[in-house]
Amino acid sequence: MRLILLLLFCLVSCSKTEQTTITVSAAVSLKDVLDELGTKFREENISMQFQFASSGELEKQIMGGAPIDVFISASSTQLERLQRNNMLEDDTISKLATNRLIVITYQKSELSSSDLTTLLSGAEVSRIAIGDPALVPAGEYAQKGLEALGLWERVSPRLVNASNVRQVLDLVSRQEVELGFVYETDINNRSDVRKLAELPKSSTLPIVYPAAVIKQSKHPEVSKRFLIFLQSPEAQEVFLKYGFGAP
Amino acid sequence: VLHSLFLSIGVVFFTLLLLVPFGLWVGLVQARRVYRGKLLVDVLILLPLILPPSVVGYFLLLFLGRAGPIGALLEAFFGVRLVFSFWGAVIAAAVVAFPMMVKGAEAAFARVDKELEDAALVDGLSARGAFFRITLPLAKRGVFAAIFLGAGRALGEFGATLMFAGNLPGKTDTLPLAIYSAFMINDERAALSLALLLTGVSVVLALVLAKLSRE
Repeated sequence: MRLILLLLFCLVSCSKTEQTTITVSAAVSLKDVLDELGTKFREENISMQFQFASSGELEKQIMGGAPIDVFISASSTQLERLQRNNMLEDDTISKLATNRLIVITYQKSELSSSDLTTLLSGAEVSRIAIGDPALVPAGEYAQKGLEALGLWERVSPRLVNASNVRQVLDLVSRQEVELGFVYETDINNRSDVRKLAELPKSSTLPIVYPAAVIKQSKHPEVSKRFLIFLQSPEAQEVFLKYGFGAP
Repeated sequence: VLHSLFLSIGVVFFTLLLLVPFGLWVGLVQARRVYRGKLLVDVLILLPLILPPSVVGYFLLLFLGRAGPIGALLEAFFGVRLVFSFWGAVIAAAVVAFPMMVKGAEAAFARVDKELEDAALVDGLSARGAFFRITLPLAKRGVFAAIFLGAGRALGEFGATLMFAGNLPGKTDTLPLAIYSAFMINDERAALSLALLLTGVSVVLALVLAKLSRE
């Protein structure tokens, strides 16, 4: 028993003194690209821990004092609220990438590409998934876009709110909904869903990913270096490879 | 706020409507019969109690979803879609409340002296008559406790409902889900009033349970 305790103690203390772990909380649409970029950012004794969820959920965690070093949001809404609450290192705020919002359906669906108004008015579309606009930027962009096109009222009775944009993808691929609003980069390498339409540029806000170091981070220097790395040409090339746009 | 209360009451009501006959029957079988594979059935009954609700919700989605084997049949033959519907919430609640109901009923029936039943059968009552006239009245208190426990579990169901029935405003946002949504969008007032409401209902349920086990 005593030996086990000793071993446990050693495990905990050894890992603490040897390694610095920085926790990066990021919008779930960045999962694939950040998984790759995390392996490219190599520094001595630094390990990266990623946490992916909707930007709104992450904002809530940061407000609650969760031990997070870097926040990458899918919309400036969440970042600006945190900034107003004095939670961010203001001089670290930077834009990393851009994206586009699209409408998808499942592969076997009989729907064919056309303009949004026709798509959304069809009787065969009984359910449409979007991220919960209060928490999920992709849902907020979808709502703003649909409002600008004058389609929101017509669509809202058929909406299903998902807790993040990847859940929208999941609901479409399970055929639980006919249509879903996701980012263009979400359907990379997915053969079970396909793109039907794109939201017209004029109707949507620019979709930008802003990032910042959290004020209470215990490793602000490493965190800043990681953000600078994400803006380097090497990292930006990876963003492009995954279909994101330059900021 | 009020619609969530009505929704929760509706879910609990239909869950009980489904579970009381079925759960009591399974409880009786488990208490009285000896058969091959009883242990396996026992494990299946207990599983929803031990599994995390997220696993229950995931399996429900896998089997009863539109692309799932049972879900596809339901839609083809009856045009029924369970996911994101009121009935989806009822099914999620029924699955997690099922073990409570069966185990409670089983214990209550097992406490009834088998010789009383046998005597009633000898005196000419049918098996069904013996159950309704002898066994059920004698096990009454334990059966009520099982029903209230099941109702409490159905009322509090969160995880499996969230995954299987979603959190659709006005359709599947039962009290526990409405609290979660209110909290997530920083609506502390709504979260607090919903929480107090649910606490009130739970206190009443707990009081009834405590009374039943004391008398």
